[in-house]
Order: sequence, then C-alpha cells, then structure tokens
Amino acid sequence: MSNGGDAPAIRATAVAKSYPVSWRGERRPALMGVDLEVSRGSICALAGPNGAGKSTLLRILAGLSNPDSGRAEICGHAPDVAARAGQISYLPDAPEWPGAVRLLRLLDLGRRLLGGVEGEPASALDSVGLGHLGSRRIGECSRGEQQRLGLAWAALGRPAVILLDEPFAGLDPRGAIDAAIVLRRLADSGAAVLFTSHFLAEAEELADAAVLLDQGRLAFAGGRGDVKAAGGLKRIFLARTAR
Amino acid sequence: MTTRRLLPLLGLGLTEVVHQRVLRVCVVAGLALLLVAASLRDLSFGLDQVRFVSEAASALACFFATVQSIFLAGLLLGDQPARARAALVITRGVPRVDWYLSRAAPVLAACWVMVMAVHVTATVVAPATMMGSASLVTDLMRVSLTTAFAVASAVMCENAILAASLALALTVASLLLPLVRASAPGTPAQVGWSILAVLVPSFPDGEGLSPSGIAYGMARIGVVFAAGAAAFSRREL
Repeated sequence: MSNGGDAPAIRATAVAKSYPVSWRGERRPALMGVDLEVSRGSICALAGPNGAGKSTLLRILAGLSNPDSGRAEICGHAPDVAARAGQISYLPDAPEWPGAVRLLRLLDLGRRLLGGVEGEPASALDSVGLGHLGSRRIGECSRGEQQRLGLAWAALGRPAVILLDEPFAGLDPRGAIDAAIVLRRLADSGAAVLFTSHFLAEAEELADAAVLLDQGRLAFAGGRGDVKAAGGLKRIFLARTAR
Repeated sequence: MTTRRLLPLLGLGLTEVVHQRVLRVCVVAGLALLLVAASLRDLSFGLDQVRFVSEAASALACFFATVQSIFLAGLLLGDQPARARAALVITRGVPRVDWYLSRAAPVLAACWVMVMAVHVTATVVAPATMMGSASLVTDLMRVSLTTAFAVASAVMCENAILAASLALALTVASLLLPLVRASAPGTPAQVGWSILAVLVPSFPDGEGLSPSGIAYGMARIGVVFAAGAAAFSRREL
C-alpha cells in the first residue's frame, strides 16, 4: 500500500455520526460535519467537554466505526484499509489488556502481529519507564503503568498515524513527561499524532496544533501560534464551549 | 487470514479462557454432579442404572458446556471490555476475521474439554456405562452448535444480557424439540417447530448418528460460526 503521497496523514471531511437512543429510531448526534487535518510529523491535541464527540472521531479515524456521512482518510486511504496495512495505532481511553499476560509477552505479541517489526519489546518498555516490570502480569499493574504500557504498544512498529484517547489520564507527573517525550520522538520520526486530553496546559505545551470540539461541532482549529494569540487553550475552551 | 497472526492470537485467546473463573467452576461442578449421580444410581427408580448414569453424564456435559459457552463468548467477544480489547488489536493490522477466530476457537475448545471430561469421568466411575463414541460425538456436535450460537449472539447483540438470553432461548427450544416431535404429527405447532429444528442446537440421539448426519451437523455449525464472523466484520467497536 502506498503511503498516500502528499495527502495529510489524517484527514476528516464533514464527518457526521449519530447514535440510536431509543427503540423508536431516535438518534443523538455525536459529530456534525467535522473537518480536521493533521500533517505528518506533527502532534495535534483534540480538546472539548465531555460528550463533545472526541472519542467518536478517534474511533472513526481508527476504522472502528463508520461515519453516517462525510469522509475519513488516513494517508489517503480509508481508515480500515490503513489499519489493515498496519499504518494506524489506536489507544482507547480505557484500554482493556488481558490481565493474565505479562508485559513483555504482550509487546512480543504486538511485534509478531506487525510482522516481526524491528526493535525489542524490552527496549519499548524501557522507553516508557517500565523496563523493570517486563515479567509482571498486566493485571497486577497500576492504571498508570497500564497507561504507559499503552504508549509502548502504540509506538510498536512505528505507525504512520497514532490516535490516543486520553493518554495522560492516570499518569503521575513523571509518567506524563515520559509520555510527552515518547510522543515527540514518534512525531519527529514522521508519525502524525492525534490525542484527546482534558489536561489543557500539558496538551498546549506538547501539541503543534489544537482542535476544539463542542457538541459535535468544530469550535476552534489552529496551530501553536493561533492558540497563543487567542490566549491559550484554556481560555479558548472557556470562551468557545457551552457550559 | 494468516497463520503468522492467527497462532499468537490463538495463544492469547487460550490464555484468557484458561484464566476465566467460569471455566473452572463449570468443570468442577459438572464433575461433582456426575459423581453424585453415579453414587445415587441406586435411586434410579426402575430405570436402567447404566442408562441413568450415561444420561446424567450427557445432560450434565451439555448443560455446563452451554453455560460455559454463553459466559465465555460474552467475556471474549461480547461485552464492552472485549470490544475495547478488540479495538486495540484490530487497529494493529489484524483482520477482524482473525480476531474472531482467535476468540471463538478457544471457547469451543473449552466446551469440548468440558464434555470430554464428563464422559471420561462417567466411564471411570461407572465402567459398565461405556457411553461409546456415538454419544460423545453427539454431545460434541450439540455443544459445538450451542457454542456457535452463543458466539454469534455475543457478536450480534448490543449487550451481554440480550446475547445470553438469545443463546439460552435457543438451547431451551432444542430441549423442547423432542417433546414436540412426539406430539400429534401435522399440527401447525409441529410444522413451526420443524422449521425451528434447523436453527436450534438439536441432534438425534447418538446411536443413529450417520456420516451424513455428522456432515449435516458440521455444516450447520459452520454456517452459524460464519454468520457470527460476518456480523463481527461489520460491527462497530
């Protein structure tokens, strides 16, 4: 599969999605015509209040859910096609790891699923500060440790697009710094990173661009300079989202 | 589908099944009840004692395998954590059908182990029963079809309770089927049940199980598993 040439790594065009809420066919809109672009080698923060549609957008971009209308593309291809080609890495907000499996074995499984990609599972664990826990079962790890494991999993095989739902939730300050370093390293190696976060200060510091969703609509989109000029992500959030 | 991906995923599925409490509970309960049945065979009230133990073994094996398959299918494919886990793996280049197979096969294997454990124990505690391979094959086919329904229900239904109810309803229907078959032929109810007979996990008793019967049963099992795979490939995660 081609890498999409000059196409943005992530592109959503007028994406709309709604969910059924009753047996009578009533539906609640989750996304209403959202546009988004993230270029290769950059990090984009996706912010918004609870229920704004952030996770829905990530799932559509990961090929796990289909939009009602509009179009999502990863490196110029449909998301499910890109996922099958191993170009996507997606980490949900509450990853469900098999608790009985040891950390190293899980990463080794990931490596084998990706066709024996370069890099040892042990070094992937080292990069997120879990090198000393390789033989521990995942079920015995804390939430923060599992979150770090998620980052190691997401980084396996150097995917072109990395989609992370709340990657900083549950991390202590050192864990959050380590995570930011890992994400920056991945972006520097050419990956496009799109992550959701409620930690606006950390998101602003890390991201090259920010997108704000509110009630399924795009409330703001801009680069680091635009965010700064508007007084920061927190100020934009408070000004442009409904209470 | 590639072996390179499927084998490690199967290993993961088996590890998860082995660590599920429901598996251990069902195997222990099934064997314990069988031992009770064997020790109580003198209370078989005129029934042939050997037949009493062999029928108890068959019923226990099928009952606990059904319970097991419904729970395991929900835990491995149906409920929200199972979907979240699928999302993690599928986005790393794993075809959905590979993931589905790597979940369905360990559920089926666990149910087979359950059936075989009960049959072997019945033969050991009451050697005179010698249930025979036909009975074992019938029970394996029955629980395979039950498992296929449980897996397909877990994939198709939005929540685990609905999926379990659907699988349970089909199993109960299969138990009622022989009673309806014996009722007056040609009644509208019987016509309806004969249509349902194609769907529910019901097979003729072991003695008469012919090669064509086995082939027909295998085809039914395959169709239900394939329907589950088709539903999973379209499902939103």
